[in-house]
Amino acid sequence: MLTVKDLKIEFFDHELPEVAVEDVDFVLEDGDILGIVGESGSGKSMTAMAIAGLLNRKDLQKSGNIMLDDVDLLNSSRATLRSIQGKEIGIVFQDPLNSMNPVLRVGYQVEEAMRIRRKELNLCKEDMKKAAIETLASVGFDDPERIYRSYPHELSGGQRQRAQIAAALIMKPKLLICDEPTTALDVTVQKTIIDLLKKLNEETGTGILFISHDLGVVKALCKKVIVMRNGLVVEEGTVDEIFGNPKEEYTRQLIY
Amino acid sequence: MGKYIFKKLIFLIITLLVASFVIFLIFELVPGDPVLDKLGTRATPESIEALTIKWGLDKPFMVRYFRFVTGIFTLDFGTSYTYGMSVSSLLAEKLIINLFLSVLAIVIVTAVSIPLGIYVAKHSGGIVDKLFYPLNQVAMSVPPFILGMFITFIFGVILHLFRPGGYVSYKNDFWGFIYFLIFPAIALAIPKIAMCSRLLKSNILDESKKDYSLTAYARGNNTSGLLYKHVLKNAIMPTITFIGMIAADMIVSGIVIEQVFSIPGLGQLLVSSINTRDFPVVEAIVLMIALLIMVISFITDIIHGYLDPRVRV
Repeated sequence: MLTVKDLKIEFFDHELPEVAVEDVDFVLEDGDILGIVGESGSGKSMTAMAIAGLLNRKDLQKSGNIMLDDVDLLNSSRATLRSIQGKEIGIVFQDPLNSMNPVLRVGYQVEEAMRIRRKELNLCKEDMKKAAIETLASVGFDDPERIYRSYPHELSGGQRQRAQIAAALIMKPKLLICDEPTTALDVTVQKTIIDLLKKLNEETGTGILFISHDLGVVKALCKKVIVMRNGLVVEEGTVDEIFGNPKEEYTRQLIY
Repeated sequence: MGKYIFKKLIFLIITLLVASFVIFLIFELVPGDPVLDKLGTRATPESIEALTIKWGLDKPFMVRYFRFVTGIFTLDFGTSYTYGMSVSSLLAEKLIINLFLSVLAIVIVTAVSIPLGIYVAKHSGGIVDKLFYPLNQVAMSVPPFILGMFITFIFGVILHLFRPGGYVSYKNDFWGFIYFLIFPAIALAIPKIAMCSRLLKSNILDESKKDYSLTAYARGNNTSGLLYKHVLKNAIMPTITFIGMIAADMIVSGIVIEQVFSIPGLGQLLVSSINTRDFPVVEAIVLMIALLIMVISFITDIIHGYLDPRVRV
């Protein structure tokens, strides 16, 4: 479903060009969960941003291909990307507090990806609310009606992150990108999020690209893993291969 | 929301009481005796005593303060020492002039600076943005009374859009009165427009770099959707606070600008009353200005509460 080929991202915001990501190739099959691990600065988030179509700074140069089915996300126009963002790709960020707009109700933010396409989908307010409530219920809220009416500051960190997942999933995207979604949460809440992602993956068949520096979390969730360092892929394989028999010294260091 | 408004209202009343006490105390402590001032060289011990009793100055401080405070609610501030007429009737007309002048200036500031700030933020880095900065600096640094003279010269003397010094009373011709006030209001508004639009522009740019903007982008919003549905509601809040502060300042700046345009407003009365130690008038003017400022900040708080769910708690 998702094929990344020869991805290279270079920055020109300093005097010397800086390579953030180079020679990144991987494939994510339908319904798979792929983990990308690496220390900070390894280029894993940059890769995720490139896939989500969020790299539109003028001071950087991108080359390669990112194919989502038959659309090249890296070399598409902003308008094409917009039609895919939120609809076929959902993204969840690290910090659940700051990634929600503090002055808008949770319900509004959850149904936003749908609201943007309201005209083409020919939906009325009630349809969107119904979909939002259903999605909120599917991410494990017992009282989705109340959450729908709440503001982000009225929810806990774990609740906010689940609301973010609901917002990313409302259009039933093919691909869900999670950029360190559990890093800002405490351990018990992390586990509920991981279980939730697993459950959603099994039920809806949404492919998940999971980015984390926390190998424990990756081990619990993913089937395949890519290890990145300094913008390069150093190792890739199934979870069992990587954790059972790491080939690279760097991977070994990350594990222990 | 109802509870929030109630809380703010209680707060307003307490502030008003504190302010009234401070104002009254200050004029109690100011040197100079209004009785001696009034009588001048003709003063005799008998006439001094008679006038002191007539003006109620023989009563203890707290008694006089109490009369002053109750006056706030009944709009009775006693009698002017100089003019011999009631302070309320003396002030009513002047206050209306200043109120209209300030409101008009605020309307101009809001109506111009918000669209301007949005436009410049949206086209940041473009030609308008490059021109915006130096023009802004100029507009911000010229004081309103200079602008007032400039406007009188351009619009009054050259373009003949209004007659300089030709103040029209609202009693005779209300729209003529408003029309005349537009020009001093512009003079008051220009520096504030510069400040306000710059504040809004930088807030919009800051907010659009925040995480939630990226999230909104990732859901497929275009630039306008991002700006109007997400960023603006957050970015406009400091601007609203700032406009509230400006509004308070307008009443005071208006005192200067009305001299330039020969408007018989509060300023002239305030200055002459201070000179003659006409304390009932001075106290009432200062209190009215304080009250207006408090009401404006009350309104600002309500707008804030309406826009931001976090402050309602």
